[in-house]
Amino acid sequence: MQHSRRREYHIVVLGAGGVGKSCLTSQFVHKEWIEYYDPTIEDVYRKVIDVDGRSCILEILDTAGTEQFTAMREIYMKAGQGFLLVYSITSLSTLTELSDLRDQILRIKEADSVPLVIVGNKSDLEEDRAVRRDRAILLSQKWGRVPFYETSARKRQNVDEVFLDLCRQMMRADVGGSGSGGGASGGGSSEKVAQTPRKKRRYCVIL
Amino acid sequence: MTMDETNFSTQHSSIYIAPLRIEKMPKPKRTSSNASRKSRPRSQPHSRNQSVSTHSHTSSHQQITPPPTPNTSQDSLPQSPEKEPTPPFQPFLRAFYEFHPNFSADSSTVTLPLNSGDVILVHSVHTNGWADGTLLSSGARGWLPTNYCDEFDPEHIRPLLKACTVLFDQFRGGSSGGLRASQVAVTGVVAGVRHLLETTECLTREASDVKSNDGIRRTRKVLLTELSTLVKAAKRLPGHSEYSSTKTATEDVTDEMILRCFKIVVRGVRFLDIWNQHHNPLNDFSVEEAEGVQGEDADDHVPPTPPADSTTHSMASASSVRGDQTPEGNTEGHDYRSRSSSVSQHQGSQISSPPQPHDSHPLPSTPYSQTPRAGSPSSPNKESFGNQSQPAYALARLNVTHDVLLSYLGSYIGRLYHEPRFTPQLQLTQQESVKAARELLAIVEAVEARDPKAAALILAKEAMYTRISTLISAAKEVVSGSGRVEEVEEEEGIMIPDGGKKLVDAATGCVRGAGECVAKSKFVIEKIGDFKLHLGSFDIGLGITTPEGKLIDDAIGLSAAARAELERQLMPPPPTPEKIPPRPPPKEDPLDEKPLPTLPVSELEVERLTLDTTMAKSNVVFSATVPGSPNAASSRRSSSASVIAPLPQLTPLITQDENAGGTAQKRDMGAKTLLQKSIRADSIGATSTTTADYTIASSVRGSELSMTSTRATTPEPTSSTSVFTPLLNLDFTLMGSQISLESGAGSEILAPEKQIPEDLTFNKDGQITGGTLPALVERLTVHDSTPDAVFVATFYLTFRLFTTPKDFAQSLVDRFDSVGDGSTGAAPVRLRVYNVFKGWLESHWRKSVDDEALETITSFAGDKLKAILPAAGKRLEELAEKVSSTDGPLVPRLVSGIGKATTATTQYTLPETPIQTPVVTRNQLSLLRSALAGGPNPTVLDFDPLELARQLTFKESKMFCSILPEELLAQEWTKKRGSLATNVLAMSSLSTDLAHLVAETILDATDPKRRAVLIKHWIKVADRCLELNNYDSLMAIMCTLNTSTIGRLKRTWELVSYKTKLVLDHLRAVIDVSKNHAVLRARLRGHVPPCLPFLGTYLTDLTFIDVGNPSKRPVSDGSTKQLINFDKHVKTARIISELQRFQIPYRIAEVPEMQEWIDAQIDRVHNSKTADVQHLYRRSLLLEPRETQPRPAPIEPFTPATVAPKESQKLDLFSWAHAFKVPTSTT
Repeated sequence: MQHSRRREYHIVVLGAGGVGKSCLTSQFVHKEWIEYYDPTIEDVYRKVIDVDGRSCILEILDTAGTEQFTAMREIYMKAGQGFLLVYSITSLSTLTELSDLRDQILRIKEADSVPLVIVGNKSDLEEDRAVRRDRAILLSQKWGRVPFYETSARKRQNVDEVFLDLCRQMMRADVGGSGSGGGASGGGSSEKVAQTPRKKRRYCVIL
Repeated sequence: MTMDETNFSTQHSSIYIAPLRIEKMPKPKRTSSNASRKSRPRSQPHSRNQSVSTHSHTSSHQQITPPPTPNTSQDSLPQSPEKEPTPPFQPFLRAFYEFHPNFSADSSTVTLPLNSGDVILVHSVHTNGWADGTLLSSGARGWLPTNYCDEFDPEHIRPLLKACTVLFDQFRGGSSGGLRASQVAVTGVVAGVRHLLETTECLTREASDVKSNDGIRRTRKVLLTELSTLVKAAKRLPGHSEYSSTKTATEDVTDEMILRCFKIVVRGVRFLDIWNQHHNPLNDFSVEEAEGVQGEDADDHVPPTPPADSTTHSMASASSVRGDQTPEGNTEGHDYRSRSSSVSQHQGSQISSPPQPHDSHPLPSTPYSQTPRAGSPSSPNKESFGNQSQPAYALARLNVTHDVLLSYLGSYIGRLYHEPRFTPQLQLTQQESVKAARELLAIVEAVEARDPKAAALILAKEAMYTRISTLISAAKEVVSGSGRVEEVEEEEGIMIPDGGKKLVDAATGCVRGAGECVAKSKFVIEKIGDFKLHLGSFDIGLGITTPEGKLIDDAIGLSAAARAELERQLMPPPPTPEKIPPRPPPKEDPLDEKPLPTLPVSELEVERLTLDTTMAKSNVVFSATVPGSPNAASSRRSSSASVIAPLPQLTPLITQDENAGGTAQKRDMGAKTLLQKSIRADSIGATSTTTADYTIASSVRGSELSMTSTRATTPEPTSSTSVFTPLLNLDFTLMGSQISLESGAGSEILAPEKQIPEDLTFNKDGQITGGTLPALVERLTVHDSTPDAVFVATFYLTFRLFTTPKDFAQSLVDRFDSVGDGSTGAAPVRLRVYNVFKGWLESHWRKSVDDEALETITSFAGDKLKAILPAAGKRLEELAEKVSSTDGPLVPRLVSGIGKATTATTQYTLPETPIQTPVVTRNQLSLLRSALAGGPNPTVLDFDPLELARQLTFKESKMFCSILPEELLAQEWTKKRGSLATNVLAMSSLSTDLAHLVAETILDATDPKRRAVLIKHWIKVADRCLELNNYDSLMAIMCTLNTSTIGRLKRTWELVSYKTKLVLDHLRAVIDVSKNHAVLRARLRGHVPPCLPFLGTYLTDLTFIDVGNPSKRPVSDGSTKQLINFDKHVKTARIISELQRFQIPYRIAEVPEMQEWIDAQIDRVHNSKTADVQHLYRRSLLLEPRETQPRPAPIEPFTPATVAPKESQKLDLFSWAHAFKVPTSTT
């Protein structure tokens, strides 16, 4: 329906301090380490991506560095349509903190599910792993089979996939109306095309 | 201009900087554009002044009064390293309009009322056009609008003005120079007065003017009386009779001296006014000739400066004067000389009351008027060019050329405005414009050659060709129309029929065209990557074109710094007075002032002249075919560009107009600043960081004494626009000590540096982006130029991130060793090494980490350094000693407090602008007192929103101002344990607690009506915070009001008035987080302190810079060698400096009771378990349950009983709520 005009989606990256959110974001918005990475400019966190043949603009809101400003969180959440909940596989507490964040998001959005992806970052630090995969998978199932990825922002593994998945969810929610199509449960999705590759990718990671 | 003695002495003690808040500025971002839109004429002087001072500051740090040169008197130098006054050339302004702020009702700012004719010593100019200055007639200091003033620097009085700043610096700078320096300063004033009298031919009582004109006689007498009092006062300086190092010059005497000196200036100005009045009716030539004849320079008047140096001196001051000129804005002195016809009106208008804005406009300088100075190049110059040539990247060159072109065109248009005559000067300006345009086009073509598909670029180029041709043909028309082609050279020129409109239009078109060309080229360059420009023939024949290259550079207004660099490099090793380009003010060569064509000077001069004239002819008469092949002009540019390319000083002047659409006229007429302003106004919201403010406070170390905060202000190199007034803030602390030595040193050494190119990388703007430690250290101590301020400041701030203090110290020692005794560059390098050590110890020492380097430093000082520079060695030993015994940074720097309008912890208090009385009734105070004594707790409703906002601001501001730069490095604040970032953490915790407090107070009320009242109250507080520019508190309050917890209270919101909701919407828009906080960033960009920015954005930016940029970078693609990614640190420093820009305390009266009460509330919330998001949300549910499941009944009876301001009860309420909540929310 909106083939001609680009849709704009807002993604909020959340998670405890030090899980590598900012790294994930900067890796995504800038493919390579570029000479002039200047985070102060307005559209540094905007990126045009192609999702299944449709181009859309992603604006990423990453509050890295301001984790202490807990009161500010809601203001960011309010601005977002899709959420990346990031934890570090080297710290269990960062995973458990995600539940509160999700609760808060659902409260603000007044919905039972929102486009959301669980991201276990720092997968390159296998030797320091403190969170087993099934732990996160369990959480994902508890939340209604929310997609879960393990990523390595440093090595740029699965970075784009995470954002693409979220983007698909948001597009579906967009089409299917608020609330119903948001979750990863697959319910209410009107776009089979989009769904299949997502699942494929997801399972690649999990299994 | 009378002065009240007593008034004086009471005020002077508080010559501090007062922050300004422009009251009538609900949306600061709008005002700037408003201002420029409102009245073009007025905005011109405004902007000119601004940038003028900007430049002069820059230059002042680098060029003025070079101390004895190392080669001649090495030993004497370090003996008194702090003695060198490095008097910055402070620009003076003169008020043209009265300014009696009636809106300065706000206590947090101090504005300076002005009467027309007042003379002001400017300390700094803020981007928004306000300047921090001291009114000479009263000694009062405050903010004043530069657009009400014009730059004041008439030829006659210039030495006096300079002497005044020297003296001011000397005494305000802590008089560390001792008696001798003080005496020098006083002598300078005497010399200045003498110069004034001499140049006006009123030196003796018998002079005809004195005899004939009563006014002159009287003012002269008053002036001399004043002078004698100063001299008398100077005798009271402690330790007068002998040379002693006593530094106890009592405040009283020094203050008195400063005020006396101010007075002398005021009297001098008065004298000059009278004199001018007297001479006005006469023909202008008398002025000129009078000026021309006297060849006196400071040489004669400043005894302590040895002749050899005085040449340097005069030359330095020349450059400083030139530094004052923005490309377009000339100093008065120049104007007088170059435009003989308009001299007197001009000056006359200065004297009398508010002139028509047009008259008061200083004319843009003509490149021409300055050419003579550059006209005496000698062969060494060519060599120096050759030696220094650096890769000239396309982008850098493009920028420089564009800048040159703009300045010429600006000058061109400016001239036309002033008098629509086609004079030889105008012709010359046109020639130069055309030349610059050609060169620009050549570069554009080179760019285009790389990407032939860039259609937009080609179009822009074609358009530019057309535009330039139009200009030429328009000029041709004028000339031929007059029928006197051959007589253009004549003094009076040709009247231009339509008042020059056609020419102005054509020139304006060129400006626009150039802007487009540059923008498009940049776009292409961005795409294809920057490349070295090999414009074949450009580089050939350097030697020949050098003189002209100089000509252009000097004439056009490269930035002062860049020019200074050039100057230094161009200077023949043993400078003899004859060879030094005569500085404009004290005319050493009267011939200089005559129009070029009739000027026979040296051979080279002649050669150049002929060249010029031929050029002129070809341009004006024949050359409608502009583009041509790369020509001499381009090669000149390239040569100069290549010299400067690696020096970041250049970047300030690079004006990359992406916004070619900005009003061309503004751009032309106004100085750079205005240009930038307009651009900024246009492009707020555009992507690049326009905040060029580069402030790096080095050692704010929390001590209340940290007058040492060091700021280097430079533009952001990668941003689209650059020169901003913050340049002004370029602090001498940083460079001061170094420059004092360096400007002298650098000028005479031309020994090639052993550069290891692969050890350093630069970006397109010539800024260092990477290097090995030795290479960086080498850069820090280059022998032939002043190290870039940003670079130095960044280095000091961040070096601990890429090396250890010990290694750094060792590298410096190695650098010291590496220069052999024989080489010419050795001496300055050694001095610089010493200076770097000194700067480190004095103001960048972080005891906890740096002490490990102490041993290295001490042994170096006592051993190697002492052997070569005994005095320096001794001094360094002393410093090391001091550093090891004190905690904070060593405080007294040689720098005066004046350069730092932004010094972090300076208290701004100016007695005559009383701090506003707090809005607190006695009743409220007693409420607070009883609450603190354990009585009933008042609620926020008991207090005025404004006062609450003020007190919150006061509290946060205190925290904010004590944030140290090291708290912000390497994500220090995120460290879980032992974080040094105490202030950052305190601030984030305070805003979180404040947010929770807001929620709690609202949720405490059981009655929806009362909740609505509370919401309204908090909205008011937030609004007041916005008025106070307290974005941090605003954010905290707004966060809560936007939370689901509060937002979901539908019944409550129904009771909130529409008006209040409108306010809320406005506030929401301000804190809007989208587009990377675009709204907030735009607001902060040109913000004047005091202001409390939202800390979070800085923290996020710093995090991303830290994470998004690697700490190492390869030398070049494919190389495995890794360099320190210095660019990352530059970026970090830039953010920190942005933050530091706002570290200026508010002028708010503390209400201790309220502070204490707020503290108690915050503490309570902080420690309360019920004040987290979840709990608050549950309470919200209790108050107004979800509507899907209406359950009002159970709540209503409960709450009145349970909810009370008492804490214990609240806890009860909560536990009850908690138990109660479960069924509510799950269903």
